[in-house]
Amino acid sequence: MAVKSKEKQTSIKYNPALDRFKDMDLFPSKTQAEREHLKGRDIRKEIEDVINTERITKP
Amino acid sequence: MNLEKYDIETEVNSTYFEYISKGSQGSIFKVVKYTKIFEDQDIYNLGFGDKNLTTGELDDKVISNNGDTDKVLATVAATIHEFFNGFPNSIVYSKGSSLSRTRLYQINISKYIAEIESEFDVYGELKDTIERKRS
Repeated sequence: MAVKSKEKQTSIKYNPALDRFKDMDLFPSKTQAEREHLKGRDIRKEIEDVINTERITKP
Repeated sequence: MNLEKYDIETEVNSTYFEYISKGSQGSIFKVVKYTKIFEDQDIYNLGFGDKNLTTGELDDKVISNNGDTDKVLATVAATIHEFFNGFPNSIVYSKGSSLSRTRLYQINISKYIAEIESEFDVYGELKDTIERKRS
């Protein structure tokens, strides 16, 4: 199947042959390292806390 | 950002990207992959490395020295853009595979922070504490 343009500005093309990689973890040791590093933390909540702090301290 | 980038190919979900870096060491096959870190949180690890086309092995620690760092990183940045089109409310966690690589990423993010900030919320992490990255 021919590739089709997904986003013209950045020359990103969809290649169906690459679909086999969509659910694969290709860098498992790095993913595992980040999993260990972030374990027990709620990053979204930490980001919300930063936003709330900025809101409070903003003049 | 109006930086020169390589042509990229991707799969249907836009979590896997590949392109070929062309420089002083020749052609190097590059891979970018976004992988969910936790099943119950939309936080994705940005994995990035070289692919050995003979063995199929991926290496995220290799130093390519292909003389095209800015173009390579601009291409990775383009994949972030494309990834967020499909996963707009997610968080991408990006850290180098070594301290020097993380530093290189920090320098380049800082260089273009004004443009990046116009499209994304950027946060850094210092001693396990999240901080806003500002220009």
